[in-house]
Amino acid sequence: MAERHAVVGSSVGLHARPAALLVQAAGRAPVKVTIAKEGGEPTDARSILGVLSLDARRGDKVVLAADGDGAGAVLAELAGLIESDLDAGEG
Amino acid sequence: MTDLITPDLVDLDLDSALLAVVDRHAATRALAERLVSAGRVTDLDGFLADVRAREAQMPTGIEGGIGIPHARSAHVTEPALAFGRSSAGVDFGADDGPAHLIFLIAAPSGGGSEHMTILAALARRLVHAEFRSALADAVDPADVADLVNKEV
Repeated sequence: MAERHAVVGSSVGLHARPAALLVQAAGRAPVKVTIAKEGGEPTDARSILGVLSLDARRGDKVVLAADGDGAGAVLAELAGLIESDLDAGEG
Repeated sequence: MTDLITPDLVDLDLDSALLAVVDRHAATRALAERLVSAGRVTDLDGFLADVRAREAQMPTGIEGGIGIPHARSAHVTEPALAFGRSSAGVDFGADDGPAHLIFLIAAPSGGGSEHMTILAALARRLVHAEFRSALADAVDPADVADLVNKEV
């Protein structure tokens, strides 16, 4: 199991466009990725419902996890998305 | 604080309320009209414009037959949820098909991140199949209001 920590960079948190972009990228990945708030329950990163349920705000720490070939590269890409400020307008 | 949802904000048969074209704008409008009648939204068209602007950022249809149009808007007096059920289904842009359970989330523009808290609480409940089936099977709007107020 590969894990990677990331700090939410978007000012609206993982909502709206940042959440949609994350879910799309996770859906394209060849491995199943989960996301959790640090210390919280992991949820499927391909599910918008799951990602919204985290209520992850800017500055919150999240943990991505995946298994299998290429997991490290996938987690690096998703962590990059989470840490960048992807906002377009308010949430 | 006032309950988020009251029985008059529940429409268990959105299909017959809409009569003709069942698209997401008509469904959202039907629910928003309930918010106006309940005094939670002051300007129907202004509020709907805010909901559409929000939808342009991200489709509000999510997996499992759920639609969650929402907006933070200057035309909202206090946070509120309206719920509509459609057996025919309404396309909210989700990959896996139309929405049968639709929540319209309204939050005042001064409310900071309140609507995200509501959205997250609702999402946490909707992940569970039991909650979704309780909404799908409810026969009384008061039961839906009780369920949602208790859980969200």
